[in-house]
Amino acid sequence: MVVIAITDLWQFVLRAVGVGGIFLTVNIMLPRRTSGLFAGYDLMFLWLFGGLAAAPLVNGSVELEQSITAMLAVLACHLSLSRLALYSTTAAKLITGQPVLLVENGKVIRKNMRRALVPAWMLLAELRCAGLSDLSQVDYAILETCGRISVIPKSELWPVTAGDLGIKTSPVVQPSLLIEDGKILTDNLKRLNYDVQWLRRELSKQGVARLEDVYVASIDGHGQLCFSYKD
Amino acid sequence: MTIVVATRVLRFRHVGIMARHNYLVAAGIVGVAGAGILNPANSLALGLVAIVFLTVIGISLSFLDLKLPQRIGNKPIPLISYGKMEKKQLRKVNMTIENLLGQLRLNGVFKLDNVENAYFEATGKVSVVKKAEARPVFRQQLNLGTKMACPPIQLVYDGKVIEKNLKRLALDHRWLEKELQKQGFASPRAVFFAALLENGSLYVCSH
Repeated sequence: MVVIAITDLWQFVLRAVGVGGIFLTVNIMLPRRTSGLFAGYDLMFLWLFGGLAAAPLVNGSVELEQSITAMLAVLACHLSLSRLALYSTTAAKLITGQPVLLVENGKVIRKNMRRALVPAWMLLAELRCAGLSDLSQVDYAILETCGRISVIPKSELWPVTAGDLGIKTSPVVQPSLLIEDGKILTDNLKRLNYDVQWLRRELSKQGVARLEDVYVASIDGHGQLCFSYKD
Repeated sequence: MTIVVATRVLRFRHVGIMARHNYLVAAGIVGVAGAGILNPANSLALGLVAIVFLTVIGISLSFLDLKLPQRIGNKPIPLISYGKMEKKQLRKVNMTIENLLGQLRLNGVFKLDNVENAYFEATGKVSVVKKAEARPVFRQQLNLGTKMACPPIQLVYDGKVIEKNLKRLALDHRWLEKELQKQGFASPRAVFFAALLENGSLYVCSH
């Protein structure tokens, strides 16, 4: 029995630490798109990675090195597939599949529904999840490669926007983080031409005695500071 | 059973799966559990120990996330900035144009010129910031004044009063019974669910 080989608890703990190390490195190396699940193969690779990383804990005859080699091979596969899809649209069609039009101009395309194996109840469920009660409210519905259905409602059902009413708006500017968990992010401060003294002064105006007590602080495009205490 | 305990110990973010390692650890746990079922030679105890270790690994990685967020590369990657697609970044993260358009559609963007910024978050999701004029009208823009926002507070569930919440609101049973009687219920026992809404009214549902 293979189990006997690792009944020695210490060896098992060592293995676990090794596996932890693998998880950490893979976590950093793994492409972001895998956890975004943009296509079916992202999902398969992700679960494969987890299984391979945990293998030395399950089976005593699997060495850490074997698991690492296998994962590197799988990672190489994932990267080359993604690259291939990036540079060739034909390859992309084969690897990730194509979005499928399920509803066009308010009309359900039965042929595509069949081809994508989407029953009517599933389409209706997705519509409800998108906040629409009925097929008559839908302009387009598209089955994306990640398996979710995106829905475009008819234009008369779009929320009214500021532009529609001619309301003057100021451009959206993304806020920048200045303090995180009590630590000042000097890079961000410098980029915006502020310094620590300025931050201290501005926050003390709002009643902050010590910067270390602040959990997060950010500044928006209009120079407005916003912060939250640690406790 | 161990799997259930493991998912509880790993906290909510594991069920919602937010970072890559959350997936990895989940996959590892499932792998161990699956191997235990398929191969009777693997002892149950060892499988349990393996799941415990994987859980510990998962928690420590989440903890590292908390302590060294910048170091693990959790910064959002801009995919569209100021209405322009960032070709270099798209290439870098291996995202095809179809991937990007699909993610934008899933975010409710049908008109590309409505997008001010789009980011590839470390959780693998794409977030979209629409241009100011393409956002729904805010109450503020129509000078509609402010409203109090607060999630409903549960007061009764399945005929039982939730004392903790009642106490927190500085209310008592007498008040609750009076309110319920106003809506035609004799006592909390006749109610399936009751909650206090932010406008001060009581939402009540019978059995």
